[in-house]
Amino acid sequence: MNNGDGFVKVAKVADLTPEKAIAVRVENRSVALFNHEGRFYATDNQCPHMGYPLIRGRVRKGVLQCDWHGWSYAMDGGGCFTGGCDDLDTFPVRVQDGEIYIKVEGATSKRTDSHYLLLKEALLSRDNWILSKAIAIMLSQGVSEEETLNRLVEHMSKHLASDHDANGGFRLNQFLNGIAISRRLDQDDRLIPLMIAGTAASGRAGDRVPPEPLPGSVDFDRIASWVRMFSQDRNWEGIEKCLVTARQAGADSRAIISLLYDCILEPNFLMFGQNLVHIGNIAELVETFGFDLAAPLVCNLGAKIAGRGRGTPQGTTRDSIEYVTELRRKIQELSDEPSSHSEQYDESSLVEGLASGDLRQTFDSVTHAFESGAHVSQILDSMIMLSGDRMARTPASFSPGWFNISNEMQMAAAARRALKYGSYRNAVDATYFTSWHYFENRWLNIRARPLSRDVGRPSKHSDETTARGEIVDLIESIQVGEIAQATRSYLASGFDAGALMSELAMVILKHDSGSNLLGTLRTVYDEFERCSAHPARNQLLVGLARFATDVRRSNDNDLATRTARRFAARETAVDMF
Amino acid sequence: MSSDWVKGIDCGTLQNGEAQTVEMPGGRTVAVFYWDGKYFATDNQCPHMGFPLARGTIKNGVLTCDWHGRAFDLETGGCFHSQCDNVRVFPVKVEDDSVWIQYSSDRPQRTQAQLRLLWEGLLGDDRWTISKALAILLEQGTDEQEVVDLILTHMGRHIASSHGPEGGEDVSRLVNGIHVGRRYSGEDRLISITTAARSAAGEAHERNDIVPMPPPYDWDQIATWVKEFSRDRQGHRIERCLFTAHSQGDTDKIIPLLYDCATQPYFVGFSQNLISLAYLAELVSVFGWENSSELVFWLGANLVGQGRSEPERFRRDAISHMSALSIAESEKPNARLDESALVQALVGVDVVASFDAVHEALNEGNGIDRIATTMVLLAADRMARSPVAVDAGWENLTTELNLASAIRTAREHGGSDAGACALFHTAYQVFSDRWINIPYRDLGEPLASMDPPAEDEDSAMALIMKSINTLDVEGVGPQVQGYLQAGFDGNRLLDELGRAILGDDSGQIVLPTLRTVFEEWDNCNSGQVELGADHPARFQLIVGLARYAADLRSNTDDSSAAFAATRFAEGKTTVEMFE
Repeated sequence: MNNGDGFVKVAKVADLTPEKAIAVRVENRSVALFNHEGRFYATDNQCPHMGYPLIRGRVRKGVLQCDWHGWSYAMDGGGCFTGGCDDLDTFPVRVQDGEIYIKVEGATSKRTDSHYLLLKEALLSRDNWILSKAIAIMLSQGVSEEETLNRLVEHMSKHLASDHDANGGFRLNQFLNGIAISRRLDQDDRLIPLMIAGTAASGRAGDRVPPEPLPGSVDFDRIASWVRMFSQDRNWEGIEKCLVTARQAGADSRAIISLLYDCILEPNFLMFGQNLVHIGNIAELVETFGFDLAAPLVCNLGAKIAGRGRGTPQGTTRDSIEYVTELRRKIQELSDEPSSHSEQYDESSLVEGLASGDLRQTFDSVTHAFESGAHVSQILDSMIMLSGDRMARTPASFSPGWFNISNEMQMAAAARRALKYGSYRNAVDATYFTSWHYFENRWLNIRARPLSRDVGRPSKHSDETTARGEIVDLIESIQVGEIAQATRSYLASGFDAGALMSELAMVILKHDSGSNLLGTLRTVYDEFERCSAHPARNQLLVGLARFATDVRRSNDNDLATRTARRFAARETAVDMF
Repeated sequence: MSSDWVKGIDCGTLQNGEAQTVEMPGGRTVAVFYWDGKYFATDNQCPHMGFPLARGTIKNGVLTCDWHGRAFDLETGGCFHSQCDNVRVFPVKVEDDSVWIQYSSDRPQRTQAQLRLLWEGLLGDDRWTISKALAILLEQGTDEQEVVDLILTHMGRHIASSHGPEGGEDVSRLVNGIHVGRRYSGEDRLISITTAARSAAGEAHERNDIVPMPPPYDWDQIATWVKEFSRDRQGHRIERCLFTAHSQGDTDKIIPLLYDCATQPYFVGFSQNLISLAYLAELVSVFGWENSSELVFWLGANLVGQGRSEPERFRRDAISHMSALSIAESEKPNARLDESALVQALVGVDVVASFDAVHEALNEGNGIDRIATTMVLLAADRMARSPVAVDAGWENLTTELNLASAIRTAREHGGSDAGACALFHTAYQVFSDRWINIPYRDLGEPLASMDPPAEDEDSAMALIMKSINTLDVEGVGPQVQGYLQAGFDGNRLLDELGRAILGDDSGQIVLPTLRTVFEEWDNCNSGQVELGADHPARFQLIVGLARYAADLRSNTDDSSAAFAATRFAEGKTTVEMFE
């Protein structure tokens, strides 16, 4: 069939009547042959937009229009009229002795050049399909993941700068969590978390005049004092200008990030614990992508977070802020990093304090822990384990508080990052901020108990693959009542926790609720690994599995009526469960 | 730049954080501050809105203006806000118990900073920031091209990211604002250019990159497709075609191609298309392609590819009749236009007869410009005579005038076929305005003789301006006619009228018409008969403009409506009402 010059016989001229098209298979791809206005054309048969067979399209005046969404292409050359990212591959045709020959071999795909156009279109349009297609094509054609992600960061910086306030931090959070999770998965499973990360980075990118640094040379200490002042005055534009100036003057990212931590750990920001997560993410972005690429986002989003407006605190919030302000000097004294982990540290009394529902007792239990010589990371371990335990035990009823508990956990993880990217003092402050969330969640009906190993019965299955399959089935069929026991038994049997973790990740990511669970998933991944010695660590997986199962059901109406009936019977919320 | 040490204030007179102003040679004031044991001097005028900075407060070395809270680094003058320039600071020394300021009255040129501020103002659609930046740029003699380049680039992006074909109206204000601005200086020029710049204001977003179509490239193929997509209302497919032609060096063929599409019979009734296209063509010819290409490709594609509904009865007749005619210019040297027959057909109520008359005028060898002149002056005459009532039809009449004038641009930039077709589009506009109650008048007849409002030119002009300011629409027409018939200077009057129009909030609406009248009045004084030289109806250009400008200010919709309603209740038809 092959003539030696790459042309392959694909059909007889007689097979293709005028203005008709047929599909032929060459080199394992489907090629469309057209007989149009006395000429033969060969193009890829897959519409570059969504894959519809183009032989079913309409041809007029050399323009081929796909029947599905109307995308249209020049028959000669394959140019797509609606944009440059969907050009169609075309192949040379030769007619000889009543036979049609085409040359597919060696044809380079137009897609190779249009990756970035496609990615840009996806990012601007925020269209999941185009985004997945772009990322899938890039990865399958050997564009480095790093290069792809760099483009996402650039776009996200512009999008957040023009279209978001401080809450743009949640987009950054989803972006980084998506990437972190993708890195833990096999190549084939990465597309979903990367697509979720890409979605977080996408949206329109408005033109913006980039802020100019201040004139003259201003030293960093002055800049820092102004940033703190503007943070109190809620003038984020001023902060951005200062950060841009500092960056231009050569300040390193660590100095800028510590400064941002200093601002957001002022007691007035106590109820904006999310700031802690956001600044941690900004630091992680710099670490992952380098300061040069991250700088515009660091200066802009960092400024919006540190300079955000805040309402006048009321009630217990005001009391909490006053108490933390009062504790400041004490905290200062506790802020020397101990050289080792303390043996004197009493985890149970900390847990009791955090779950006490009493403002002073909550903060005091943290202070006692520090006073006993505990290192901040010991305290944060306990907090995370406490949240995992709460997640594993909260009654799955009308309002289990999944997102509140998950928030505590992520806040504690963010306090760890304050230690990594800021200072020990920042982490100590952050620990108090985090503890406030346990107080804030005092309405949850979970009795406090020491964080010991919660041993389950060994699994009834003898091999772990079957046991894992059962867990996945329970999640997918929304068996909230049984999922905890199954997960606990799996772990009690000594089956592979890492394999279960990956399985959980995939079952979570494939569901539409996946983006909401991303932060929890990522924290559980990290913390399960980090707290390998803690007796309560299995509760992290149990909690995650329960959370993932329960958010799939939408039976709020049913739960509301059932709860209402018990309410009418004069039960308190605690009696009910 | 010369700078001298000027003695400011005595040491010890200021407490920490206090300020005192000092007048400098030349009259500007400088604010001297005492803060943290040191003296600082800044310009006293806040760069945001001019509040005296000496009244501001200092905290942590940051000076904050009391009015809108703009904050500055006391030492370097750096501003911490967007849409506000840095404040100028001056070196200070203490000598002989006095504070000395090193002052120079020459302000440093900050062209780039002002252009940035202009861009910020455009993005934020902030009139004050735009006017201020433009005023400073004009004052320091920045090249107009530099300013326009920035505005154009922004406008292309703005319109492409947030407008459809109606973006043509913004282009109209831009082109006309710049054009009219060139006739003025100082504040009048600033108003005009600010109007132009504001037309481009608004947010702008990144768009998908446009890349040329893959080879093979063939201009004829591109042109066929563009025409096809225009006919099929597939404007979104046109932009890439135009971009491809541009990248292959066929840029010069793009405007004629767009004209080819826009003058097709099926666009009869889409007058704004030809007007907008004329502005695009002008933009490119005056400012070049570099900064206008995005705007032209995007808006051009949207204009000629826009959706059209099924034509109703009259438009259907017009389209089919125009399609049946063979339309071309065949200029003959001795042709004489039977203007009264043409005008009679144009204002008749038969679109077929109207088109035939235009066709015949062409076939008799009259040039496009000559026929366009009749249409321009017909529109002007109608503006000069339209009854001022509940709906005087100004929007329609000015469309007739601006469209008639755009015929010349169509011919110049689109070729003679485009110009010839544009005549029919204009004829259709006049036909569709047949509901406006203006009886036929022979344009060749001399105008009735009017007395000038005063014996001397200055007083006469003052009275005309008074009529405009007091919204005397009925009075201003005869006054202008008398003024011109007395042989007083029409250019002077037109300049003054333009000034009044620009200063009024309605100026943005009148701007395109003002510009057309400026241009057509020049044509009437060009000595070229085919452009209107010595035409008996030429005064109607200024009379019509004056009436339009006066009426648009009056905002008397309520009272006109009540007047019309009363007479309606008396059983009068709309024609009788105003007789």
